[in-house]
Amino acid sequence: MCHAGRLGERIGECYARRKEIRSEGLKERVGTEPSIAADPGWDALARTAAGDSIAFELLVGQNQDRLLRLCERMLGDVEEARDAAQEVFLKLYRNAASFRPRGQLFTLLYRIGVNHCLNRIRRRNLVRFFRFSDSGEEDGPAFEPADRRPGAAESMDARERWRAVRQGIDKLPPNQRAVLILAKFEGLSYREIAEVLGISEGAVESRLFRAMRRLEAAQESDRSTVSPAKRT
Amino acid sequence: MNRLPEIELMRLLHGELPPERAFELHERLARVPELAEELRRLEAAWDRLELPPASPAPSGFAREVVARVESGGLWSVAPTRVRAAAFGMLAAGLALGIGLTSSLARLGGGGDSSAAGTVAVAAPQVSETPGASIVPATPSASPSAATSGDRAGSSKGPAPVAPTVPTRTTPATPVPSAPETSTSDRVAELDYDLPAEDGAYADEGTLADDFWQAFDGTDSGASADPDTGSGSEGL
Repeated sequence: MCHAGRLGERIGECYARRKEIRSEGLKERVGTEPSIAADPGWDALARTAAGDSIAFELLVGQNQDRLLRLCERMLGDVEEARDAAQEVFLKLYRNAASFRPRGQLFTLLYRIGVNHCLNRIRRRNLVRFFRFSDSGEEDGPAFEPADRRPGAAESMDARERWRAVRQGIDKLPPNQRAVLILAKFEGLSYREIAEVLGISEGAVESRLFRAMRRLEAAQESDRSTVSPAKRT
Repeated sequence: MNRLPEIELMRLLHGELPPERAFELHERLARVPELAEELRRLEAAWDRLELPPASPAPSGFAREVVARVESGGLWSVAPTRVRAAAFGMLAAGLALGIGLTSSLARLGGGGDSSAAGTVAVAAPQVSETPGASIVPATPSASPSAATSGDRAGSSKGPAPVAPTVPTRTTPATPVPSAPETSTSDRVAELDYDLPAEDGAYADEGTLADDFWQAFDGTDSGASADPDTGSGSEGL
């Protein structure tokens, strides 16, 4: 009993440390601490609603990287992501007076951003449907990742990996895609994801699990199809 | 294998499971190798998820957004609800306009006898076909037509309608003098076609009656002549 209790404590410590490491890594990626006690963004938004364009510019400047990254991850295209991010900021501006300060401003931005990107994806799927094209080929724009790593061979490998991941993500249902991107690439906690998407934490957990199952299957099938080709 | 522990594996991977639950799951992982294998595969798949670093925001992005807001004017930055309301009002106005136009057209097309008279009188004055202009023009041009003593004028029949017609047509016809003469001329022209004397077209009063019936749906008294007090048989 005593041994089991100590083991439990150690496992708990281990996973707490894992969470800490994850949040540290995310801080590096995201750039700013996601949980600020009193978010000054709400104040900027209130001033924006009052017609202060400088406050709005500051607001955009503070959140542009985060929102652009989210849109790029969701849509898989840099240019489309820039358009989408601009439109999200415009939506924020238009409705600035109607938002009530609750939680963090970035949660609101993510919510608008995710919904906007999901709408774009749906529109894209609709266009594809009316074009009668193959769903496997034209799910999104051609993904040409910019490589910033040195070394040609590494670069080729990395590009292939990224392309495979991108294709896997594009094949996910939109809701699962959103959860996965928010969890993996934006580093949000389950609670934050639930808040952004307006769903329960259980739903986040289940969607993420299903998304991972699909990706795992896609990775397996990729390996099984690529391996014989590489051998020849 | 229970499904719940599988789903909880993701939480375990992310360190979001409470320590007690993590311990329980860990025990289970030790007991069930399939679950441990699932965890391993999930972890590997999670670690393989890698995308290129996102492109940084282009310089001047914020300025560009603000410029878009400023250049767009009030309309582009108006709240969605306001824009929807404006669209709704525009659509309602359009529908109202169309409805009014169509109801006016219906009124003019024969729903109301006096309005029918308005259209019937105004239209023939610009019409080039003599046949269409004969009878309806007569009531408004009654001074000339009534005094002409011709049978077309005398057989116009619907006396009750006639007094209302000129008052309504006066604003609708800005130049009354020229059309009046032309109408009477046309009536006179028609007289050449009507053998009034021999009574071969004795039912001409019926022609006029048909016309008025077509317009206002009333029987104007097929054979009644307001001037003579007799029917076509009496002519």
